[in-house]
Amino acid sequence: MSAEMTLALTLFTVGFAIVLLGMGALVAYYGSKKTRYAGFGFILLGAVATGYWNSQSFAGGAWAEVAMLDSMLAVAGGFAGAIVGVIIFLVAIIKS
Amino acid sequence: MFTTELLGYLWNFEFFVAAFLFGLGLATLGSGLFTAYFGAGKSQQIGFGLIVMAILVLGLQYHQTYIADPATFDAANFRYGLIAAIAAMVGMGAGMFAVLFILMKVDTVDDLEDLDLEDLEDLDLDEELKKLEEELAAADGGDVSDDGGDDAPTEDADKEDKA
Repeated sequence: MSAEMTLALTLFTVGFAIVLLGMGALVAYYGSKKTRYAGFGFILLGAVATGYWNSQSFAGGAWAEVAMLDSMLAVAGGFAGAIVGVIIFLVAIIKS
Repeated sequence: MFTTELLGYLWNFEFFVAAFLFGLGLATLGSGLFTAYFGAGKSQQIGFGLIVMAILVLGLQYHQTYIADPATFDAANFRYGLIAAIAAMVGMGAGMFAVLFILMKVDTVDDLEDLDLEDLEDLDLDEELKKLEEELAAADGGDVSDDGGDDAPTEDADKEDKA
């Protein structure tokens, strides 16, 4: 697999795991009965995805060679830039 | 394993800056296009201003990555950052889809079992309204001639009823 595909797969897994853990925590906290159990299931699935990602990258698996940490920095930078852009837009609209 | 790797890692902040500029450019371009198209007057001018700002940011980044010699940003790093950001967003979308799909498929109706919907179906709303009016009238001092809280004269209320 090419380095780009490996990187994409790695970051896909990271994004998937983050959303499952976050949404699972919210659903498990605010849900009741069956919904709460679904939330615990999401957390479990997120933990499995995180564990798989960890085993494939930090533990020296197939994804170890890509610039993953720097790419995570790029993801954070992209989100930060988008948020700043939206803030600029809102400030301009509100001040006008 | 994870923490020791993170603690000893020398971060390359070029990834962050390049992605930050690209995200900023895309967000201002999108919001600018939206405002310029749907806005009017001042808002439309703000939209055009945002588009100009986005073109400047993206153009500067393109120049500093692909044209300038020596280049400020490494093209390979920018490509990797872009792939990573898109992949992470697709992963988050997939996660959201999975969560919503499972939540919709899981039968959560029993969470509402405390609500007895059959009682609600049998409820006569007119009857309940009359009871409430009588209770309110009794609380106001036994005046049952009130037409339901409307300040309009009784004749008007009668006309409305006939209409």
